Amino acid sequence: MAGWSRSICGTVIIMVQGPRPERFLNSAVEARYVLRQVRRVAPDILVAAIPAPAFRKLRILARNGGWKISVVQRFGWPFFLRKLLRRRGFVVGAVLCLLVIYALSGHIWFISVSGAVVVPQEQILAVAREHGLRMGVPKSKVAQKSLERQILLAIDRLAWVNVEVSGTLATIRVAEKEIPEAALTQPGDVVARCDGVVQEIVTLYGIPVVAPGEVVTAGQLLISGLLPVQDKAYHDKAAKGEPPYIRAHGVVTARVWHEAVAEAGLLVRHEVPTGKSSRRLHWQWGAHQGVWGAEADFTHYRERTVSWQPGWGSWRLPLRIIWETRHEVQVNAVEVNADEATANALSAAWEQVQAQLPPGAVVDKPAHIQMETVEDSAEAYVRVHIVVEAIEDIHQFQPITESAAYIAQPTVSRSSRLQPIPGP
Amino acid sequence: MVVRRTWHSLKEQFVRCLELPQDTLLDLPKVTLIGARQLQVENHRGVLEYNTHKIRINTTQGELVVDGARLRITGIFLQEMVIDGRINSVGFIR
Repeated sequence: MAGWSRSICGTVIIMVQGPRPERFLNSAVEARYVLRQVRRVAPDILVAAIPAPAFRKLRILARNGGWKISVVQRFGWPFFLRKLLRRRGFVVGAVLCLLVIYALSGHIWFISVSGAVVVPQEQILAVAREHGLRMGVPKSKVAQKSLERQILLAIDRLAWVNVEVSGTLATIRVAEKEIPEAALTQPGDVVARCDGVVQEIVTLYGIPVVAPGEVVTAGQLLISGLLPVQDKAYHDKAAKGEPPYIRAHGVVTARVWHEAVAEAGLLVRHEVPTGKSSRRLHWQWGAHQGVWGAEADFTHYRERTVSWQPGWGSWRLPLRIIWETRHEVQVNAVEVNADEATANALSAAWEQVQAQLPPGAVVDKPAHIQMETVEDSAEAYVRVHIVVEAIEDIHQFQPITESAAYIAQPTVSRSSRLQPIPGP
Repeated sequence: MVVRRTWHSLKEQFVRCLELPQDTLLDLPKVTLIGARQLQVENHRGVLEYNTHKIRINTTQGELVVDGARLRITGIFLQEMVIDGRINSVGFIR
């Protein structure tokens, strides 16, 4: 009998007591009973495992032979079930628990969206919700194919949608359409990104309105996208009802000045924790709020706050709990060498300048650096002022508005000497 | 008795001649020893004595005596018996 069948039928450990228990063993075997794990625990005591249904017949056999037989231990399902039936509350609870798990596993409790980059996930979830996919809905009520179609119809930007339900999780996988950027075809002008002196202008599309050597200010028109009236393209666009504009494009190199100011104190403050700390708890329930705990009387401190709002999924309770911990610190001022402070200020100023320089900018002249030590009533510090001259591309595209597109062609006095370059 | 012996002798010769399995046809005990830890006896005729250091088993060929330590009958069926423990010696006493 295999282990599982012994477990189903049940096994009992019996103890046989009497003279020459080997004879009982032989009688049981002759009667075609199977005995396992036979142990001789004492000269007149034998312990063995037998199938539970065989016990009654073996008891008769033992009594007839003058042996005393008793059950030491019971194993297997029949005994477990008997024990369970005595605890009806437990059985009912277990069955109910299984039923609840079974019922809940037939519903969708989590919804995730993957593959959405431009389209907001909330929009996809809203459409899905509108068509029946929401938290707690039975899985059988979700028509996946229909839902996929509805999401595709509702959101133009999507090219492909797949809804997959796995366990209690519904995953909406989407692929977005590759739409060419509107900005690349939108008509407009090229304007100056910042102030500077134009060094060179290379016009690819449009009409240049500035010449090398001119001083320009930020936002000033550099290359116009407005077509001249005499241009054939102007009339073609007018016939189609489109604005007589093209997308101006070109490279405008200009000499630009960048400056930065940085300061470094001659006294540096270090914060050293004293080891004292205090904790307060803030709670907020809707419009009501309160604080538990007294405010610490620290002159200098570092504060750390941890916020917690209980909820389920994306749903949140209107309760917010904030733990605020303050660690007292002692502020120690340390004097810094003037050279060191200057180096610190210089480094900070250079960092600012580097942040201002666009990629491809060329600094072809040494920077103008001005340093001074300032002493006011509070403290002394070193101030560094850097001015850097760089050659960089200052062109910036500025799209035209619908109304601006129909204005009359401006008189381009300065650029009248330049030949218009037609657009594509 | 003489008839039985003659019949048994004839049966033995027949089995040998045809190279048939002797344990099945002649009802001989088949003893299989696995290392010194398990002993399997087929065609036994019951247990004569059993304790943790000695087991005497009745067979058609006489008594099979198993000596050892921590001996235990892990399973006993009508034809077969399995013994576990540290087996020191196995022998027949006629």
